[in-house]
Amino acid sequence: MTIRERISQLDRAQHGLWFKIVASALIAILAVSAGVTYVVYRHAVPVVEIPEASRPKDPPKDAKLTPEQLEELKLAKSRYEATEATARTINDILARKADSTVVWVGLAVGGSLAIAVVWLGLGLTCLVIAVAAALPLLTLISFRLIDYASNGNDQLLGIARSLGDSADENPGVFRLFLAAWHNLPGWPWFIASVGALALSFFVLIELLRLLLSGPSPITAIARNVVSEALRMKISVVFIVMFLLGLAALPGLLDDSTPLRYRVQSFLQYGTGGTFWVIALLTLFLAVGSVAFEQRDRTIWQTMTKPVAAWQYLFGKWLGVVGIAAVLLTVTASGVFLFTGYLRNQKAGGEEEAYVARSQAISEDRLVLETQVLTARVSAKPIIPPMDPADEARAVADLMIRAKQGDAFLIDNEEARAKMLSTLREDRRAAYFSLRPGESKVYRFTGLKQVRDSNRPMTLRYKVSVGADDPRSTTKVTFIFTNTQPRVQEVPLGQALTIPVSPGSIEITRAEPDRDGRTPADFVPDGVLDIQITNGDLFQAMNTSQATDPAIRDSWMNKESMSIPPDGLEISFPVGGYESNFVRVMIVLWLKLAFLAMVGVVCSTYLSFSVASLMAFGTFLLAESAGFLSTSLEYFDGADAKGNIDYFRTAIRAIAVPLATAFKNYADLKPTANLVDGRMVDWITVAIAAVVLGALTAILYAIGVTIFRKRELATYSGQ
Amino acid sequence: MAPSPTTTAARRVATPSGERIVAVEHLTKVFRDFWMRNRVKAVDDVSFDVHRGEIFGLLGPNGSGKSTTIKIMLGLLHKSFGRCTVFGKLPADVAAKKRIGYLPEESYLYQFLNARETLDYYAKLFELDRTVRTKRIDELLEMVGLTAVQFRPVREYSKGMQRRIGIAQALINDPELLILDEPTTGLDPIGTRQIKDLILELGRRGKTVILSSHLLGDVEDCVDRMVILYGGKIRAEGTCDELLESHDRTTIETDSLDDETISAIDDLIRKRSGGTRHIERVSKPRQKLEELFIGIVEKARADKLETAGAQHGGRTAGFLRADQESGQALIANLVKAEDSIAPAPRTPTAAKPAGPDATLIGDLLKKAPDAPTRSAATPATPAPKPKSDVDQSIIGSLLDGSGPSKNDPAPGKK
Repeated sequence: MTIRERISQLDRAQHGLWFKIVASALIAILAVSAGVTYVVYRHAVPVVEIPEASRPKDPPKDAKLTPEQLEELKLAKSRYEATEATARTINDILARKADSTVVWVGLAVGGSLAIAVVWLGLGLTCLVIAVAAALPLLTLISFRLIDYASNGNDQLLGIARSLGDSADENPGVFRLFLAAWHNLPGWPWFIASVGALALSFFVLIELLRLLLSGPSPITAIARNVVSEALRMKISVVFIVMFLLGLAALPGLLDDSTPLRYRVQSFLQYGTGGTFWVIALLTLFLAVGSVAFEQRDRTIWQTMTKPVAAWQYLFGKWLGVVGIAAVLLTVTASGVFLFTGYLRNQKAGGEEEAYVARSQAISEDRLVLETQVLTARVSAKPIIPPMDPADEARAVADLMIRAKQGDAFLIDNEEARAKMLSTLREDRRAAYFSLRPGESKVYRFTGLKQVRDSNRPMTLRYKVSVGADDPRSTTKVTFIFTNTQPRVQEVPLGQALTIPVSPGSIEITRAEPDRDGRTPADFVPDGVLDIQITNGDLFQAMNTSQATDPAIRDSWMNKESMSIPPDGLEISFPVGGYESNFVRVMIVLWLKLAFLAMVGVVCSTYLSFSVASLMAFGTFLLAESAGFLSTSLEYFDGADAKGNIDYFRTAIRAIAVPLATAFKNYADLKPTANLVDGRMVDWITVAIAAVVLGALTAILYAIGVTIFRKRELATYSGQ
Repeated sequence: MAPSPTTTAARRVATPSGERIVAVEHLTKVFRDFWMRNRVKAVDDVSFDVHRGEIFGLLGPNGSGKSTTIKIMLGLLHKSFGRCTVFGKLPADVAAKKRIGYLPEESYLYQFLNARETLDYYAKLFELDRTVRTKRIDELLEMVGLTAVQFRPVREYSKGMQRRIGIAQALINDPELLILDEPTTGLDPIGTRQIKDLILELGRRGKTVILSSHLLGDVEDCVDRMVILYGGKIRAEGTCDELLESHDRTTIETDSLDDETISAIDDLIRKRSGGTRHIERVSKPRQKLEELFIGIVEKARADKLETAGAQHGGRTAGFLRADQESGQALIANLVKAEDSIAPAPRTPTAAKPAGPDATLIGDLLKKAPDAPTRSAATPATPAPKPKSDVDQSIIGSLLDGSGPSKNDPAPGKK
């Protein structure tokens, strides 16, 4: 029997029902076994314990305490609560070492893909790809094992022994295999990763084609787009570039940088970078799919069949969106699994993953787990509102002064609104500006939920002094309620964090009315007050008795400092990184779906090159709509004297509606939120779905109208 | 779609009747430039109807407006003025398109699909379920001779092979109306013959066919009725017979005759016409190059020589059913037409060569002494000298049943 005949025989066998059932069962058993093995071989988790003795004891009921003693007791309780909350957080983080979620997700994804391969009858093809991808890895491991068997390799034996609970002399084949797996170079992993991603893409595309195999014009056209994309070399180039880039990223990350930055960089490039690649592919694919059909006239044969304009465009869009979904799924799976891999790497200050050198948890690990790989929400300080009457008076004064300087200034609603905006901006700047030695209290509200959950929060702050010399630092004192002052040496213009105990949050109490009753509509709130001082208050305590003013005031900084608009916020975790990741991917897919429609609509009346340019321009416009809206606030159509500049007015007339239309798109910022560990909640996803869905529907309606009006054929005579 | 021994279509329909499938009234198409200035008037006040069961020809040179008219019928172009309906509906109507099959003037196919995928794609546009799709695709591939190469991408196909797959896609929905724009472009003589046979076969099954071509031979062999366009206007309209038949000349075709027999016939004609008519030209019919070519290919196929191209096409796909309603109309038309113009059946195989009928010649010879008729043959060129190796037995049966006489003088010797 020739090799070809043998392959044909195998191919026939893999299409048999019993083979599929048995193979699926085997895959499921293998996946479960692998998961169980991982759980069994995982390392023990250290736990931070707080001695019960340190808990402040309540005084006897009949004990009479002085106000000072009461205050001290309150402080002690608060401190204990803070320690307990921190310990709980640390224990939660450390428990993640034993958390097998990523492994189970990986096994579930891999197992599902393998079963899909079996049922699609693609086993032989996939086997070839998988073996080719895994060959370098398996070869290296084999070499190590052969080397151990023939020469004896003490290092390998040492690793194998350390993998067990006890220093067993004969570690066994499985542990030796695991030991050989350890510290393999990056390149075989890179090849294996590319293979895995290519395989996933291949299988998912086949599943998509299966999904679109129904006998209807829409699915037929969509399926044709998928086939076209697969067989168009430009798509392959894009896909390979993107796969290589994604797979190469972890290897490109520098091991010496703190883990939190490595994870953030990976998330930034993994999701943000690949989103751009997929977005460009989506745009060009959507444009090309319609434009090339018109250029090559293949559309004639499609549109002379019973296919309505709306079906044709919807089919095209569906096909492109399907491909985008497959690419995004592959990317997302890759990013998620790689992030899991990175998370389990050694962080700064750790001997091994999750095991700190000198304390319960390293700062790098703490920041990674509480700031990056989490879903947190943030609160900004409340700026005390100005009395409306005072505000109106201030605006009137400003107007009088302005008119004194410029007699031609027109006093109208627009001018007053602008002055009010300037006034509020000035007030905000003044509120967040501290003279040398000045202290201000900033209040955050809406934190009752955090107080109830007893989870630590994070203060994120940024300080500016002058031109923010990157070599300079300044001393800033923070005082949180019920805690000791904390002095920080702060680099200028950089975002920094401080953990804040939930014990610092005060729950508001209702003010009783004259009859001593609590108002029925009162809702208690959690309030956090943070006092910030432009100077070192510890030093102030030491030098306050000095007679020399130079020494006495030495605790104060020399210059005023300010906190920029995004420079002060409290954030607290409200969900897990995993669910946040899923929501972020949904938002990204919604954006891609919108972009696909942009491409389709542009190509209904433009040639490929012009349509591509227009679609790409729209994409850039949508991405930068937030910046554009801000810029437009300072771009007036008329000067202060009311003279209309027609050119600027025309630009505003075009730019303002566009910026408004795409503002919601730009405000979503899914990647930035994911990288910063910020919560993208379901409400945001729903808003994105509604707004982007509406924009997509409007574009679709425009596209269908144009498509119905236009002539698909041209004059072909002499 | 095996080639039949003949391509000559017998005329069937003398006057259009039955349901109007396509109605074109004062149709005008003006192409304008970007500034909305009139660039060219491609179709100018064209009116015609196509009825159920007709094979209708749109003739004209390149740029005469044939394709533009078809594209308006299909909704690919919008009319400037006038009216155009297909199955009583506007061209853009999806319901009408369900009943149409269209082959454009060139094969505009998805180059990344193979033949099977191409047909599957178009079948899905008609919402045909999987079983029906598979059956039809198998039959059509067999019909157009592409079964062996069905998994090769279309981009690897020759022009003729692409044309074949184009024809197959036009038939995937078993259309009631088939619009073929230059269907034989790019096809070899066998393919051309097959297409013509297919058109006739479809016509026989009651399909309505609109055939656009500038290859007059193709049209002449197939169509019942035609319009001839030039400069976007209709220049002539009618059935093939109406437009082509020359009533003042007669051609007689028979087996080979000797000089004496020809001379006898010439004498007879002169005698009956009072000397005003005579044989003008006697010639040996040449085999057509098309027939020679087909003969060579048939022989090569019989010898099982290999080819990477399209195979010998099979019979017309069975699913292309005869329309019940149109079938009855066809029979009614046949009965009606028989009374008026005595048409032959429309099967290519049933069509006979337009040669002389033995009875007719017999009658003619018997009536020789009487007054000559106007239907006597009047060849256009002078008669060459006949050869002596004619088959005397045939003439013997013609001339009062007697055998050939060596004494009968040859026409030239008279």
